[in-house]
Amino acid sequence: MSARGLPGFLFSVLLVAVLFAVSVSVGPAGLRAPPPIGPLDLIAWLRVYRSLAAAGVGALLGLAGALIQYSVSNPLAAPSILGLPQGALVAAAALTLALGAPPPPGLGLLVASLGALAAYWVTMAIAYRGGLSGAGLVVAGIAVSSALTGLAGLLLILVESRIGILGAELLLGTFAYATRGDAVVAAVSSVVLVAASLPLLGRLDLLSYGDEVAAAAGVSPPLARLAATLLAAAATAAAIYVAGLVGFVGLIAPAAARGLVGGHPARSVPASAVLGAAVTLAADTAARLAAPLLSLGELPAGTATSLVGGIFLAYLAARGAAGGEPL
Amino acid sequence: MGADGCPGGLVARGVTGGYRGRVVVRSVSMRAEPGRVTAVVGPNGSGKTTLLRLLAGLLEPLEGVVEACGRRLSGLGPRDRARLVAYVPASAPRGLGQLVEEYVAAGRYPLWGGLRSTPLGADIEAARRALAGLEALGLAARRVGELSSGEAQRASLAHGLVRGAPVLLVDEPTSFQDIRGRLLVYRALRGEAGRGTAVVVATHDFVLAGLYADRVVVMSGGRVVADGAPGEALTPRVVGEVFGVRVEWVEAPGLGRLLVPVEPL
Repeated sequence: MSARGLPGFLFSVLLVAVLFAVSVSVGPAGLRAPPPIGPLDLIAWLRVYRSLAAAGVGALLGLAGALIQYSVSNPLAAPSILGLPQGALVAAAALTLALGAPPPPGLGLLVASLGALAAYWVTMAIAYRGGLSGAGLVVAGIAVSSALTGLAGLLLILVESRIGILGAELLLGTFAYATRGDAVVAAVSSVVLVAASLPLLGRLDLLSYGDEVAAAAGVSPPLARLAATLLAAAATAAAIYVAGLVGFVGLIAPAAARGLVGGHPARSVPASAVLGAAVTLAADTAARLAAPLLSLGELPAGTATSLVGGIFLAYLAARGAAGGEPL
Repeated sequence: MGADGCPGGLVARGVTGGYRGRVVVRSVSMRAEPGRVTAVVGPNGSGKTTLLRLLAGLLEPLEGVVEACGRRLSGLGPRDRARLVAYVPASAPRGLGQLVEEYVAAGRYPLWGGLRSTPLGADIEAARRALAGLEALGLAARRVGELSSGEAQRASLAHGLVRGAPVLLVDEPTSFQDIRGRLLVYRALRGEAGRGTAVVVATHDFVLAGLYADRVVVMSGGRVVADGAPGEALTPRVVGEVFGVRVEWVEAPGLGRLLVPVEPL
């Protein structure tokens, strides 16, 4: 982190700290003072688990989005637009059906990662046939993610009826059921994957200028892209495992990070993870606060991120078509 | 980079290469001396870009060898190869919000230690110097994606220059430049050769190549059809056959003989 991005990065960290504190203090009954945390205070611990899960999942999604965007040099290339989380969800649901029970975390994460990779591979294969323009990649991604959303919905309803565990709600990711185990998976995997991505960021910088520029600088484009893709798929799978499909965080966070700390990936990729945590914490807190207003019970956090993310995508598309930003 | 630092410059011997079974360049042998500007001249589709990619080691030859500073490129790792040969492709850089000075400084990436991912102050200084040499210092704080074609082209040349590699290959660096921009580009290339670098520039502009190159390699259909000093390689007969245009020699005081295109043949 060079001095140039430091103020923006510190601001993002502070923002996450504030949102975390708010998230721990807020329940469906509205804003209250933080409850004292004692060994028997179940509600307080549930809120801490929930907030950790939301922050960790947000960081994972912000990381995955930034890695994918630099690897294909496209600001619209968010994982949930290209089909990665939908692929992970389909794979995880199919595994659960096959086992007849929730899979153990290790196997679940592995299979979900493979699902994300397979979906992304199909999207890229379609986009290559169409000539891999920026807009073509997005159209291919929408085709794949829509088909997989339908398939995931079907499988999750089956999971719910046959096995009797949480199912269709995962299509609009939620942190309402976050356990201690979820919090640990989200926090550990986000820290490990952000750290693992750091040595890749110089190569990703060159890759984003174009494959020829990268190759001429001694960076192998296929290897650098593969490394970024594997990390993004693992991050997506971990997020799916904890919360289901919290869409569009991987679109919002990288763009906000570039605006805040500049476009060099060595600054903006870590910042995107931090801002992803902020966006997701805010979305989950908002969803909880909206609950009493609607008297419907809690809303899934994914409703808030999808609503904001969809509007943001429209803004990006409109600006990209009019201005010089590469689509 | 002194000439003694790169004995032999860049040498291609019997190089044949292309893409997926389609041979584009056929048994090309050429040499780019340290301290000289060598122009590879030919019309569109004559194989200039493919030859440059073969010379840069980005494309593996089907036959023949490429050596830079006496070392076979195909035996080198990517980072070592990039330290010996800087290649500037003709395509404009994309980027995702990086500043032009960051893009230019990233040209020094092969010189950095294994885990370093960002330019330091010295790299940014070198980037600004290279931009200033092309009268493009005003671009330093702009975003790469916002540049015009001509501006992006100068930034890319600066990205190649900052590496300080003993061999510099540049593909069509003047195609989007106005007249002044073309002269600035060639001044920068001559300046780089003056530091002992073996400079190779691929271009279809035989007038500029005739004016500013020390040696001209003329390509047609993937083969070398003439090779020598500009006045020997670029004759009205060779240019007429290769480019399909009628050209005339014109005496220009102080510049010698210029080739002037007159009409399509």
